[in-house]
Amino acid sequence: MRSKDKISYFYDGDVGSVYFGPNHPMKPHRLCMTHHLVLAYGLHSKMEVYRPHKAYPVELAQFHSADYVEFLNRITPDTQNLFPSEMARYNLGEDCPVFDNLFEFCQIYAGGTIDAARRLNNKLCDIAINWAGGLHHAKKCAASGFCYINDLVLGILELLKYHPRVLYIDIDVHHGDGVEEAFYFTDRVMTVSFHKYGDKFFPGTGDMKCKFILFDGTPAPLMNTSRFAYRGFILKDTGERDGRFYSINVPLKDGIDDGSFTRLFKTIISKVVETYLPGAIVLQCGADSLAGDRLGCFNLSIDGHAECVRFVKKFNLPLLVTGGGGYTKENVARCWALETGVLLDTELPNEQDGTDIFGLSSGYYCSSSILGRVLLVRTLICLKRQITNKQSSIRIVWIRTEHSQLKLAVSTGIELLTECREEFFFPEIPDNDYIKYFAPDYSLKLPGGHIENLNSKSYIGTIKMQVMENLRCLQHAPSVQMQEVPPDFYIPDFDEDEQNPDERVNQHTQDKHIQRDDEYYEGDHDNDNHTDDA
Amino acid sequence: MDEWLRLDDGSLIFKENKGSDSAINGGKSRFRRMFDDVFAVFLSQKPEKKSVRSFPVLSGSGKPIDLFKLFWIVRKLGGYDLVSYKNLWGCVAERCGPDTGAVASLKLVYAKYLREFDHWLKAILKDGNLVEGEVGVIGKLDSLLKELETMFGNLFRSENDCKDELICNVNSQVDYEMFTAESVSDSKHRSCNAEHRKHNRNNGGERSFSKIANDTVFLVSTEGIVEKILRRAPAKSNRQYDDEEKFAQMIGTGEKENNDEEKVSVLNGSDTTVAVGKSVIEDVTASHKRKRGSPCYSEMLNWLKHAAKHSNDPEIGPVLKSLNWKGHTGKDFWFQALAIREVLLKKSHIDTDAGEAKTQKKQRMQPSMYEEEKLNNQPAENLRCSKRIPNLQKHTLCRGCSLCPISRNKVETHQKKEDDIASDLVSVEVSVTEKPKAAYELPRQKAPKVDPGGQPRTAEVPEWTGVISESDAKWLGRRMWPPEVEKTNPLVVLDPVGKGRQSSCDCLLPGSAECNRFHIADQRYKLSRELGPLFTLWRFNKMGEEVSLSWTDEDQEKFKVCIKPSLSQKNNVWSNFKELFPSKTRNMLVSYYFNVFLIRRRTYQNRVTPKDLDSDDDEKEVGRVGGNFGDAAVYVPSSKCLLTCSENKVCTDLQ
Repeated sequence: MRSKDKISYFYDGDVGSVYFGPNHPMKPHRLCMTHHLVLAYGLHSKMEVYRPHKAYPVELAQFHSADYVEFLNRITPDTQNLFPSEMARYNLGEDCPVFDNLFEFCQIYAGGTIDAARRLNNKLCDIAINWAGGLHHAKKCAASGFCYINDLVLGILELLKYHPRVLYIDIDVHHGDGVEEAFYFTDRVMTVSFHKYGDKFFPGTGDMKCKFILFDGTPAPLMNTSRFAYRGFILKDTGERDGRFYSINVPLKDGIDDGSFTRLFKTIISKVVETYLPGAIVLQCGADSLAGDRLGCFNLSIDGHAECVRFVKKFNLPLLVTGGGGYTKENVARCWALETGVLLDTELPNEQDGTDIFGLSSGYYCSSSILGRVLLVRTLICLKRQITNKQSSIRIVWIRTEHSQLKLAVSTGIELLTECREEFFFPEIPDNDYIKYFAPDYSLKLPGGHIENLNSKSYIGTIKMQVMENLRCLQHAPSVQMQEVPPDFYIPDFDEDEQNPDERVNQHTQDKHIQRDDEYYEGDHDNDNHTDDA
Repeated sequence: MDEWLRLDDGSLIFKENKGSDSAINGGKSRFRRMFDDVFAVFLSQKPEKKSVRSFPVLSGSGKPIDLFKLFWIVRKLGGYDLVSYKNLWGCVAERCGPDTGAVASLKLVYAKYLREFDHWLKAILKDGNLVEGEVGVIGKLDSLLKELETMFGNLFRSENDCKDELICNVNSQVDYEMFTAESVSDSKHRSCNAEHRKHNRNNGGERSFSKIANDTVFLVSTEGIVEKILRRAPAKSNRQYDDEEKFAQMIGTGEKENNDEEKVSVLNGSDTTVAVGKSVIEDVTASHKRKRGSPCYSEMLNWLKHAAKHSNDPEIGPVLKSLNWKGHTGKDFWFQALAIREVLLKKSHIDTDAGEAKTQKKQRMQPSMYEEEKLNNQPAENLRCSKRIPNLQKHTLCRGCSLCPISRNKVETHQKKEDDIASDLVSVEVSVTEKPKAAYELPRQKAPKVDPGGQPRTAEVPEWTGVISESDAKWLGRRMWPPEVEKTNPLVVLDPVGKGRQSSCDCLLPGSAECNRFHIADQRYKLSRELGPLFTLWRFNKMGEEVSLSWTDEDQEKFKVCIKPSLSQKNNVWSNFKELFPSKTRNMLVSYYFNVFLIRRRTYQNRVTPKDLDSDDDEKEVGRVGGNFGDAAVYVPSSKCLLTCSENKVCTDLQ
């Protein structure tokens, strides 16, 4: 097991000044805030920070069409009116406006992901982080969903130079359609996307069934497909359409919470990794799946989101982590800072809730943390001193809001010291230039989400089963790349088939059976042969 | 009362005699150099300090800060604690100059660099006075502090006419009064310890009063001087324990009548102080009486200085023609100690000095008569000029060159050393003179990184290359952190990683806007210190509300008015801004929008609509509470009480 002690983090100071336009939800300024927070927590001392090179048009054209790249390079806000047809063809305008420094912005974030992949390839680091990247919607010849250049595809292409198989995981609330599409025809990249699907939610793709329609030309949901028929189909299809089953989509409904999401995520990803044996993992950490996102509709807390990152990290594979969506700036910064900490094995303190120590009726509340308590008492004493000097009519009021944080107000009739009300807080997030964004809690904890969880247990169970079925099929889909590292861990199907499911076998007999297998067959190759024979 | 008023007018006469800039500057630069030297000693003695200091000292906006000036101003206002308590940092910032950046960064710099220095000075004066090895340092300190005192006295007077800066004045006056009271009571206390309990009792009220004083350095300094004098005096004197007689003896008059005359006039002088400071310190008349009586000794010390100067300074004659009283008190510092000691040693000089002192006193009260008097003094000065000439010339040469290279500083230091030693002749034996030299030089060599003058050291810019090879560097990203060449700064101690905020602050009002601002600036400073050039590369210098410092208030208002309609336009938000703000580039506008406008909007939301926080909806209502950094909401400069509520119209309107 390699230890993940080398982390490369990519940041370019220029992305902060990129402005998509008024009322555009995408605000690259969140990257500044993230970086500020990362530095405020001192995380930079545990990693290496790199400035990415600006990807050359040639590099971008490894995936994108040259004319599209060239057009992006050429277009400016002033000239966009001159090219209405191109603008429409490349889907520029509404969601993907043309702004100043557009191409430079693309170069920077794409360069970051490419550099990150190269560093991983050269084994210069174990984990590479590029929060500026992760723009997963961009298509080969068009922009889409605030994405112009698909840096993920470029990064994966780079990783593919060194790794036979790359696993792409996407926990953005939107479907990672651009990446899925790009690697739709190869089994060297498996894409797994957890996203909201339905209600015409952008981009409208990523339903589980889609894949099967495309797979054999007819709408054939996996549920209705018998296992053997399915397997046979895959075997038949081998060598002609390599990548058809290597896109896993986990469509979810509104308001999924931490528990069900992380359980589902862990089950699926562990199975995927076990099955697919990727050489490297690319993780897109779109923060719009957090509760309270401006565009998202999930109910994840930062902890739940970060738990996914933590889980992926545990595989100890070369890991490329990118950003993605995320349209409530302060939550994005919170989330990515915390996840940077997770990747560095540095857990940032983020639990904080107010404990009612005086009883609800009195209106006094105190933080559960010692630090907060000390601060509170000091503040109170201090205020009392000031107030008794001045006038006696001042009341001290502790206000508890619905987010269970503590606020302090000093009121004198109609006069209200708003200053106090805002500024007295439990210090959790270290001071930085953007500390005010983290009001009122000033902690890494998100304001709670209030979206109803529409994902019933049975629905999630169904999804899980479908994905597992799909994966089981993949085990029997050898390809050129798979031969290099033959799967050696699963119990061959023939064992299961031979056994009578109605016959109960005790553990001892089972063990004996396995031992006997080991004696008679020299490892995995034999198993494979048997599988093929079967 | 009438007398006070009259004297107040009298002090106005002093003010009219302006035009002494050169003299004041001369005094300042000397003072500054001393400050630099002592500060260097301080730094060299504190190598293990956990706080990180960089030189030159830069404000948040990257502009150099004059430590000396800052120290001086804060001292003048009553020290760090008092300034913090009374919310006077804005005042300090104004005085430090318009381009020194935000209030918080100034406060930060003071807290980082000078507060400890302040304590250190205090400590060394209290405890280290008798340590032989430190005599050199002490000598320096003494002279520095004497200078401080003198300059302080001048400043206090010159500021009387600045009506708009009332608080500062009041503070400085209060301080001034306090320190005189303290010094005298202390001197009394020490000189009379066993025999004169009565004095102690009399002084009791004053000492308790003076405890309030924050300006410890001044207190201690005067105390130190007096103490020294008093410690030495018994060896030579006739063991007269009465304070007045002792002082009289020191001055060398030995004549009570003379002494009494002086006392009367001093009384008047101190009344000026009392009169101005009266509005603030509402004390009973009885204690006034004590005060009136007490400052006279420190005033006498001042006169002693004047006398000493007059009789010693060879340059004083020609210079003084164009100068007023303020100017020349600034210069007497070099000769003060020497004079006192010489007087104590050499009876032969006593009469002359006494005469000078008397003359000085009169001049002080009526400076318009000064020039006439001075003519009379000329011959006496000329008689005594010979031994000081060379040193003085050298000092003049180095005046104002606090930025000169270290080697030159060293030479200068030697000279100064010699001066001090010469002036220390009375108390320090000749054999000791070598010692302080070594004691002083050593720490200077130990701290090569310290440049006392704030001279920018040639910065070590680390080479940023890739890890594998030059050609590959570009394709793998350029390594920014950690720097290739580690800075060999032993002072760097990093905060624990990932622990969030570590300790609660010791601000007076923790969590207030001011405290908040201070800590943000602190963090920013730490970061810039740690990152070095990266701070700029990552554009941290263009982040945060400090961006607004480069914007005028008018521009900011204009921006606020114009941003709203232009946000509704789909494209080219900044197009009409180019005409409105011809001096601003597009990047500046965007930077201002993100770092100032949006943060302020969020601040407004935090305060006014805390239940509806949304920093991502561009069309949210924009308001503003408080001043630019939100500090004006509780900033009530004229009040002694820190917190004064004012009705918040914005808030009540909307809720």
